[in-house]
Amino acid sequence: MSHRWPTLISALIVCSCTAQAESPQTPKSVRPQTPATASEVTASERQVYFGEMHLHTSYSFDAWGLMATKSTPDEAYRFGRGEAVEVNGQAIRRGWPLDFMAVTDHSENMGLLNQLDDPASEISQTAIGKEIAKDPAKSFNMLRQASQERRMIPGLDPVSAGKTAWGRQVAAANANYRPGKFTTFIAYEWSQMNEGKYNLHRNVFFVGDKAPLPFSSADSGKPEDLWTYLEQNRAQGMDAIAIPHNPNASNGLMYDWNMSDGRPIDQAYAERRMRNEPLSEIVQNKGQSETAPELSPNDEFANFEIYDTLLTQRDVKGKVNGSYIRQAFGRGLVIQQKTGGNPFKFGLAGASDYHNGISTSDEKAFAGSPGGIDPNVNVPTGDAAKKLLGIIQTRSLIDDQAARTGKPPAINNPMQGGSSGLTGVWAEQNTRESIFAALKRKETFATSGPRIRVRFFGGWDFSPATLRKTDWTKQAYRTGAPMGSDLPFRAAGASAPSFILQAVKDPDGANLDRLQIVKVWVENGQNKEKIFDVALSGGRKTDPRTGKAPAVGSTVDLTTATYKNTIGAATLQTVWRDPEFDAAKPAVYYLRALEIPTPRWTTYIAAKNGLPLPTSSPATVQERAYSSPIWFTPTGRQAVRSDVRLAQK
Amino acid sequence: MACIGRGVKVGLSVRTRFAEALRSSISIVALARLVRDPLVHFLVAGLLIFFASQAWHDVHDQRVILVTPERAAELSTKYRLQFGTAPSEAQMTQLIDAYVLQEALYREGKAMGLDRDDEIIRRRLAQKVTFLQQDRSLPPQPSTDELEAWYGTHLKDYATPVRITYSHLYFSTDGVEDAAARARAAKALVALTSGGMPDGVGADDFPYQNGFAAQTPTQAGRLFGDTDFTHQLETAPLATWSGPYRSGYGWHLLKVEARVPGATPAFAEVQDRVREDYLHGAQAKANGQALERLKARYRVVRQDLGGQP
Repeated sequence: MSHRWPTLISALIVCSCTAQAESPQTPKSVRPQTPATASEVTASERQVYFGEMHLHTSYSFDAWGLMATKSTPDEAYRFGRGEAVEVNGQAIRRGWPLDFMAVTDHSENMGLLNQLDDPASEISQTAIGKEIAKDPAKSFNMLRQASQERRMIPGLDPVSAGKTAWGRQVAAANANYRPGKFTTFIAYEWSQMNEGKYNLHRNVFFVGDKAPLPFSSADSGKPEDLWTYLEQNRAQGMDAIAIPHNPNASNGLMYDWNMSDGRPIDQAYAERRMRNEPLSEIVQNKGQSETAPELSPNDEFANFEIYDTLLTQRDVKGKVNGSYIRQAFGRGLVIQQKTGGNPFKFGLAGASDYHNGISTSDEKAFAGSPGGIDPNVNVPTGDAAKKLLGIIQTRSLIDDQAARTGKPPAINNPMQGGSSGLTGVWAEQNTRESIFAALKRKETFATSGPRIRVRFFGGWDFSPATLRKTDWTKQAYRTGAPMGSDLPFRAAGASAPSFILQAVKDPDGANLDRLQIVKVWVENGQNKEKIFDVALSGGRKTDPRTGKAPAVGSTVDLTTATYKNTIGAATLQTVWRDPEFDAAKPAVYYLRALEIPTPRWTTYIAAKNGLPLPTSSPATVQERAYSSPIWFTPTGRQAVRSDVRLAQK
Repeated sequence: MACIGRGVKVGLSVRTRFAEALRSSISIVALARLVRDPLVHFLVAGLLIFFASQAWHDVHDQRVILVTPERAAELSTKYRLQFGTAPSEAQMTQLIDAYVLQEALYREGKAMGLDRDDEIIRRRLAQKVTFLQQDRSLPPQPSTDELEAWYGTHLKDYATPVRITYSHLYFSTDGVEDAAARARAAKALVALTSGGMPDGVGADDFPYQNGFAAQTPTQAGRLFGDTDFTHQLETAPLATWSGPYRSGYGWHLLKVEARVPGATPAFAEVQDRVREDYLHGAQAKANGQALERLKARYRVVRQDLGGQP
């Protein structure tokens, strides 16, 4: 094991340097005074802030055991806010600082295994500790199986380790909070896997600087019980929300028709779920969860960052139905018609879910696996690059099916993973209170990585002339509804709702291809979907016969992994009126903005190493942004309900 | 096994001589004298050296490749790490064959001196020693006075950034050649400098504000990108229109109304951050010194400059 030696030593150096900052006893860093309170800034002056809502460090047992991660939550935050941190002896710095961030280590076994990095720790002296230190990868299946069977492993004390680790998590989040500049949230991941393989994970975020001990999947595997925990804390003034992720790997359970006890979803469940889970992650390292080509055969852009296998069985595909967000929006409308409550009336978030404590979001700052680090600093070369591109095959370390049956584990497909997503919020200022409020009111959007800024308003009196006014956002907020909310009551005489859409490119990234509206509605108890191209760059027109727009083209040079912004547009905006509106049918609208094609991370790695492009993953991607939706509910019983909510805002 | 047998034989003959000595001097006094006898010291020391050199030869005999139980276990563990299951017996045999071949090649290579000029081996060894050196030195906690003095010499790291108040006009490149948009901006600049009003020079709508108050360069960079326009905010002439400058969206004309230079906060306001940074720096310095001390043990002769060894 001599090859682990230098990394271990360097980790100890790093730990010893940061121990000061991490200790809960250390006084909090000085907080600069914030310039203005939220109420002084009007809605139309809200700004975009970009953040990372899902990141693991060495405090997560899988990150430590499987990926040899050494970073601490404190280092993760330092990197996120733009400081240089040391990884494996190299100083690395993020391309651009994030505005907000939450480290979300698994609550299960939190801070248990990384104690082995300290040879003086109690666990390092035990027989089981020595065994795990010798073969860290073995610990993953061992601990997961134990937690599945709800049993303790003699010699390992996750409860006391968890308490210490949680104290450090809280301290690291508080110490790195810079109101006005960089917002952190105390957070963790509730990691429930039904039957050990169907992902129901949720991240939990606290708004304040205090938080109770995590409620983990060892306490209960039912989301309803997690909500009870959130509600109890909220009642005591510690507001918190949960954000589910990777529904694409839930085997249809994340947006199932039924509750945990198997009964159909009712109104009380729907309302509870939306009080506690206002957002869902739509894109991250382990694929996008907007939709699958099978569910959306008419969506020519659905075939994007597909990750359709189970997380613990990389060669088994999960069920598609119930696993994707666009379909869930439709199911929510169907359930609302039946019960009066919509359990899937959520907004959108994007994140990395990287497991190395280093959150990057640019496509060219990603080195493949969740453990990969920024290739601009540490270019994977030689065998490492060949493994990433599948030229050298490796087998999965987390195939517990194989561990039980003795079959060889599944072959890894590192190219299946995509680069990180981002969450954008429209908030008054960069503080915990302001950003948390934006998350709760769903005034959010997700991107697959670039800093595309999108605006989306629905109303009854918008026209193309509205956009020509310089202060159009004032009117948009005054008479319309922003992303994440209900359309205002239909004005007398208004025939169809109209929407203002705007997307502005990443200032350091690629131009935009098009703006789309994705509409989901219910017809005869069935959910339907349709995509409208509402703004096209380069003067293209939709073909009236096919309803499709010509492709934007591509400027990507695959051999050098470069592209040019000679096609596409820097900004796209329009006012669109729904030509197929039916006031009797509930509907959901959201915006999707597509970039022009750019090289996928696999292409960057291949070009840097002079290796052939992999054939099993696309060479280019069209990165994108998705807004939280705007809902329309027909007048009647449900509309009254939605109006009550609107009035409360 | 032959070596071990030889050792045992020699051991026996020595033990016989010891027995004889014991028989000829049975009294405790005689035994004590024996213990103090230089000849016995000589014999015992000789024996130790003999056994040690035997053992050394066993391990380092160029023609013996020892596969110890620890080595076998390590090979098995590495396999499991990579593939997730323990190797079968046949796979284990293959692993050991591969190990034996690698070891044989390694020793041949070493015997031929191939390791001596190998850059990768040199770097790897140097890196290992670097880590070992750095682990040794932890800096002491500084006093408040020490911190304050240190702060005095690092003021610029804590200075708040410059704040810029400015207006800009935007000339979009969407649907036109980049050069055409630039030319439009340049023409507008001429109009502005000869008395034209900003809203009458044909600029395009910018999706966000056309003026910003007291922005830091970082804030501007978040919106306009790491671009010439952002950089010009710190250098463009004051109170007059200039440009065109390229941002991530197109071309701009810029009028910087005011630049408020950054200020330095009082020590008390930033004391905790200063302490963190001080310790960070002290650790890096201690690491550097450890390496310097190591270097100082060597004399450097610049033969390339005519130096003599």
